[in-house]
Amino acid sequence: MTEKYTTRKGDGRKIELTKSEIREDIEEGSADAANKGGINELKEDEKDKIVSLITDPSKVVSVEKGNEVPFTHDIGTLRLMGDQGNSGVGIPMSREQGVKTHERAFAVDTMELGHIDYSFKPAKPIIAQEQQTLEDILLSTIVPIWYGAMPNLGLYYAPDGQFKNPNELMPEGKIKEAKEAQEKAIEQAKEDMSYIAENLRKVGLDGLNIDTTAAAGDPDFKAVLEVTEELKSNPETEDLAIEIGMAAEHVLGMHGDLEYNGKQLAGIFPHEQVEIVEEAGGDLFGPVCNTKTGKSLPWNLARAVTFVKETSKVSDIPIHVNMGMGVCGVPMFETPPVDAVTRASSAMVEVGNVDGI
Amino acid sequence: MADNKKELIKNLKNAISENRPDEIVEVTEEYIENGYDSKDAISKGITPGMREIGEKFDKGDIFLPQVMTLGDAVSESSEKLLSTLSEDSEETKEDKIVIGTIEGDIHDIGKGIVQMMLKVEGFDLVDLGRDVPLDDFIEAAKEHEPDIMGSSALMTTTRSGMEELEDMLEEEGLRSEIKTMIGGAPITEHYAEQIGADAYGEDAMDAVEKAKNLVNKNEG
Repeated sequence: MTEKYTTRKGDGRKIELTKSEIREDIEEGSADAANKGGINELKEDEKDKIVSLITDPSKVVSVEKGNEVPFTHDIGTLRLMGDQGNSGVGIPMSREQGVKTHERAFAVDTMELGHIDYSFKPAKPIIAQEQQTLEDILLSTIVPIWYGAMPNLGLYYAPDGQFKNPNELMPEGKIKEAKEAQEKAIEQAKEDMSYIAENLRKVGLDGLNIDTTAAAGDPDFKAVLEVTEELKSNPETEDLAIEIGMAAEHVLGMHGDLEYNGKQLAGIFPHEQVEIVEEAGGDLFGPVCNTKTGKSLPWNLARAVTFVKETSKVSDIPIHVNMGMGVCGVPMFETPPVDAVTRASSAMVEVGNVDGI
Repeated sequence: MADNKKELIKNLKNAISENRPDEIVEVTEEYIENGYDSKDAISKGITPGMREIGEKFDKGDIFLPQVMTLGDAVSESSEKLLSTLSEDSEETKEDKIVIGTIEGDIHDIGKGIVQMMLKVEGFDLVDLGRDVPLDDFIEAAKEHEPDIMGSSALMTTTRSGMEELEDMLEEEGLRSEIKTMIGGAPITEHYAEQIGADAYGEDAMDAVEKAKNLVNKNEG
C-alpha cells in the first residue's frame, strides 16, 4: 500500500496524500503562479525541497543551520492581548509588556507598536498617547521598534469617513464620482500617515510598517507609495525605515486607472509591486500570496513560493514575507496549525530566498 | 470602400478591447455615416471586442470601473447601430424574450451584449434591466407572454435566484409555456441542467444560437 502523509487543506483541515499526489499539487500550484504572474515555475530541485518539507515526519520543521533569517511581528501586540476574535490569545497586559514579551521571550529581531484599531486614521487623535507609549517602549527595549497600521482607505468613505462611498456610487453608474471620491481619500490618507510618521519620529521611532497595503485597491496602494516618497524627501523623516506590506497578491482595480511613475497599479503581482515600492523609497517589502482554502498546503505553498522567489530575485531591497493566517501557504484558520506554518516558513526561506519573515 | 469598412470595424473592436471608451461612439458614428451594415459592426467589432474585455476581466488585467465605463460606451454605440436596423427587423420580430439580471446583481454588460445580438437576430426583446426582483420576472411573464425568459448572474451569491425563478414559474403555472435560458460568469451547463433551465448560453453568440434552437428558428 502506498504510504500517505498527513498534510493540510488551505482551510487547515488535516488530509492525507501520497508522495506523488503531493508532487502533483506542487507542480500545479507552481504552474498556476507562473501562468498568472507571467513568471518561471520552480525548478525540479526546488519542488523536491518542498516535497521533502511536506513529507518530513517531524511535527515542526525548520531551516538548516546558517539559513536563519530575521523575524518580526506585525499587528503590534494584539496577538497576545486581543480577546475579540482578532487573532489574540486574550492575555491581559499593556502594550509595553507585550513588546517586551516578544523581545525577551519570543526572541523577535524587531517588534512593532500598534493601536487596537490598527489603522492610521484612528491613531491621529490619540497621537500623544501613542508617543508616550512608544517612548516608554524605546527606553526599555533593544530591538528596533516599528509603528504598524493599515492605510485602510475604507475608513475615509461614508459612513465612516467624509467622502462618498465608491462602492455605493459604482452600482448607480456614477463611475466618475466614485473615482473622484477615491482620489480625495488618497490625499487625506497621505496627510494622516505623514502626521503619524512625523510625530512618532520626533519621539525616536525606528520604522513605519504600512501594513495590508492595497486592501482597498489601487487607491490604497497609490496613497502609500506617494506618502513613502514624501517621507523620504522630508528631512524630519528621511531616516525612518519604511516597510510596505501588502494585503493580497494582486492589486485590485477599485479605481482602475491609477498610476505611479507611469505604471498602472491595478492588476500587478508581488514581483511587479516590489519594483514600484523601491522607486517610492520603501526599505522593506512584505509580499503576500493568497491561500486558496480548497487547495492543499503543497499546492498553496508551491504557488506562493513561486511568486515570492521571483519577487526576491528582482528586488534590491529586503523581502520580509508575510506568513500569517491565509497567506503565503499558511492555512486560512484563526490559529494556523504549527506543522503548516513551519513548513511554509522554511520553504519561503530556503526556496523563496526571503530575507526575513 | 470595403477597406474603409474593415478598418472602421477593426478600430471599433480595438477601441473596446484596448479600453478606449471615448473612441467607441466616435468610430460607430463614422461607420453609420458611411452607410455600412450595422450587423457587421456588431458581430465583427463589438462582440469580439467585448469578448477580449471579458478575458482581460477574468485575468485581472481590467477592473469593474473600467468595464462599467466601457459598458456605457458600448451600450450607446449599440443603440446607434440597432436604430439603423429597426425598420428591417420589425417584420421579422415574432419571438419574444424577456431578459434581466437577477436580484442583487448589478452586472449587466454581458446581458447587454446578448440582448443586442438577439435584437440583431430579430427577436422581440423586453429588457427588465439589472438587479431585478424575482416577482418582476413573474409579472413580466404574465404581461408579455414571452417565448423565452433569460436571466443572468455574475456572482455565485445571486445565481441561486435562477433556481428560485424556475420554481416560481412552475408554481404560477407558467413554466410549461415559457422556455428558460440562463448565463453569466458562475453559470455552467451543469448548473443549468441541475436547476432545470432549458438552455445555457456560454457567451453572446452561444446564447443566440441556443435561443434560436429554443424557438426552432434554426429549423429549415
